[in-house]
Amino acid sequence: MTCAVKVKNLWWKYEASRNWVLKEISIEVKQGEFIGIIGPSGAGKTTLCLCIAGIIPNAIKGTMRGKVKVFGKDTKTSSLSEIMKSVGIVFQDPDIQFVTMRVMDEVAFTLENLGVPRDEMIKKINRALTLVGMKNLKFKNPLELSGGQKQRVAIASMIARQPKIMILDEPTSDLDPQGKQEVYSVLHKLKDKENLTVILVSHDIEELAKYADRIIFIKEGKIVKTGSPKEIFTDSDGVPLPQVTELYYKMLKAKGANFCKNGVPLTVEDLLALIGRVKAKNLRSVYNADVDVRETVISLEKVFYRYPDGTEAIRGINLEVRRGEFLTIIGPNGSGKTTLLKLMVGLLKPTRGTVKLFGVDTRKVNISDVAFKVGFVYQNPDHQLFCNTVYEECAYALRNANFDEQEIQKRIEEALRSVGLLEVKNTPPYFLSKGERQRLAVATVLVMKPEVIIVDEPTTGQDYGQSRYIMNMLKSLNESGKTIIVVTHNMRLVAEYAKRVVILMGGKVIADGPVRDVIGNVKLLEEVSLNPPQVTLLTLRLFGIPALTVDEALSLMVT
Amino acid sequence: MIRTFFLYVEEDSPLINIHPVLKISLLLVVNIEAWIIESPLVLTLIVVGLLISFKVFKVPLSRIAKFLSFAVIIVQAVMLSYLLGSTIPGNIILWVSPWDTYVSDMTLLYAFTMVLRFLVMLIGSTLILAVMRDVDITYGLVYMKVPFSIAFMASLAFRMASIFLNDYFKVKDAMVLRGTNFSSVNIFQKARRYSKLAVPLMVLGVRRMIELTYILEVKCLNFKKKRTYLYRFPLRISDKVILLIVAFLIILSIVAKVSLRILSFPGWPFT
Repeated sequence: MTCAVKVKNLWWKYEASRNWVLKEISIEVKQGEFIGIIGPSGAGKTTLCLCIAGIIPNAIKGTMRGKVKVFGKDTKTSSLSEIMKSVGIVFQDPDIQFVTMRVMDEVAFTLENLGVPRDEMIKKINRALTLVGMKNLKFKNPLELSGGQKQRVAIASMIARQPKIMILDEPTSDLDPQGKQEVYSVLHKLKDKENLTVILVSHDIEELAKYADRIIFIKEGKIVKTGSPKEIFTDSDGVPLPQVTELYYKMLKAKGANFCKNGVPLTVEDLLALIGRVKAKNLRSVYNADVDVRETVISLEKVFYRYPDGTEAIRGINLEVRRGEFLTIIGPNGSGKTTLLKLMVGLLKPTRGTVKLFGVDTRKVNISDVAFKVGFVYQNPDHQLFCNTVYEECAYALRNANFDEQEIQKRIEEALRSVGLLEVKNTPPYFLSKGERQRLAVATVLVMKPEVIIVDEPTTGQDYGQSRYIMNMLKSLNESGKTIIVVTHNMRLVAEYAKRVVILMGGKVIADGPVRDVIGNVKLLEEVSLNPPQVTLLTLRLFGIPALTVDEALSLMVT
Repeated sequence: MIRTFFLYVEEDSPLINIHPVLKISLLLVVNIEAWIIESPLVLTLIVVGLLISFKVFKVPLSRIAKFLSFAVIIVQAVMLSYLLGSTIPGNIILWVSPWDTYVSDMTLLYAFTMVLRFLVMLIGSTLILAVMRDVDITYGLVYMKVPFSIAFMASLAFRMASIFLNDYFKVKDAMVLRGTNFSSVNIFQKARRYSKLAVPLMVLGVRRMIELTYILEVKCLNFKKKRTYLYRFPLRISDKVILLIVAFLIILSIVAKVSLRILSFPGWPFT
């Protein structure tokens, strides 16, 4: 098999950084291999991708040691356009990747630059857009698509030119579960049919376990572990595990039994095959429904919202959010989740119907006046950080409201402590990592002590540890009486943290109920392109009961 | 509906399907004419004509609304600068400042003319940009023999402007959600609050520019092979006729101003 990529003893340091970002990296990737790269945020995954694509050292300055060869060509001595003949790269943030105003033009752009004849170009565009399921939206402006749709366009623009190697840096972080699977299966198909080499950075360990031939685990710039999915998920030395694998290890520990007959389970089927038929204990223990009779804080009555381009994003929604709820809003990409949140805080006014915040119509309130009642955390923290230091950032809203300095200091320290950023209070926000900036964005809302906190996709692009940190933070706020509304695609986190789940589809609420009822309705979830977590599927198949967490599933098991 | 630089426009708008070269020419002509013509009456007629064109060419007039606050600031600045700092001869009617400037009837008329010129540029450019896409700029300039890389950068500048606006509104919303009141405060407080927007916009801008550099490399912009094009825009006879009319109009207005002094400001040059 031809060697597609050879990285030998690679060290890399950015011009401005003191420390090595990559240390002693050595990898060999064969043509047609599907490589998954995992690791915590800031581990050096993106930098490694840039090195393989030749962007480092050709376009980014720094100190490089070692060699990177792509199909035998040294990236140090070859020009970037030469390397780009065989390499396609999709970046983390699709917004930046778009240089045209139409989906179709975006896919065409690289083909035009490569001098592909027009007729052939049209065929390639249609093929690429069909593969990613975006053919119907080819005349849309990429910037007006939902996050997931944008990622698919970015992938299509690379697929169209049929490179030999595709490097994808967290391309699925914005996609709904079904969208993720579509992308993975497209990449897998391309690998099988066209011998495409895929190098994919992702936090979706369950999908990687299914599709990758080999997984590389990077931490602090070093390769900690590498091997097939079965090899890499054999123990938990810092490697995040698929839910069923985690459950399996917990079962082993709990029982002390050794039924490791056929290796490590990575899918529900694998685990079922290993454990066979089991009886459940504590069937009732997982049900703890609580009836909520507290007052309504946000209500939507027959709400419609139409964007200036005519897209009806919200179509007749009736919804009530009660004090103290932990509500998650889920739904496929483009279902209207973010629009719904903006209507809830009054940033958008309904085209028809009424949205009431604490009983007052949002059309009649000044948003800046309700800021201390409802806090909103953006998906991209960079849109809401505008001060010189972390402290100033938190003080901003309080100073607007003329709080005295003593109170401001007290509130800031409390908020920063709860998000773990007190130590960096004098640091400029833009020097923080993305995870820290996301937490700071939450802190800027916390200082206002709002009764309702609305968070849009807080875990996008974050590793599992960071995601849990943020969700735990929201959980403790909820336990202290705050109403939490979260939009997320991460079904594992929805199951673990939410009390109530609303499913949106095509701008309508198609399900609304306690988390267990909604997550356990597999048929409904499939209809809206969502997948339940692995342990929920497992316990549904074993006992007909939807467990929400690994520990809950464990408590049901009797081997 | 077709997406343009300024939201969507009806597919059957007579302006949408004209040749990119013509669109660029019209954009240039509107702005050049605004500087050639000084007659307040003619400028007023052009402003009225442009406003009617919105209806004729099926472009929503609301597109101008987006720039209304910007227009008001410019108008205020223009008026203020002429009222405080000019010495245009005429009947002194309002005020003479301690630094020997005064407000005459001609000062008012000239300030009004400058406002009209600005309005012609704003309304005219909005009308044309409301029917333009990025490909109009690139294809139009390439047709005019401008190298593709330069033509593309020009279209990218417009595109970046829309991304910038998008960021601007998001950041502004985020500030409002943290209790910032932009509406009921005086102009100095407003300026101070708006200045806060600069930090995130600059950071986002720099990040985008750096990443954009990689993206363009990845998208093979510097590839040596001859570039091909997805769209074909044949220059029709009707387009050629309009181009000739447009060129004739510019020549005519220069002649009318220089030789016939029809389009000049009354009394210009001031003595």
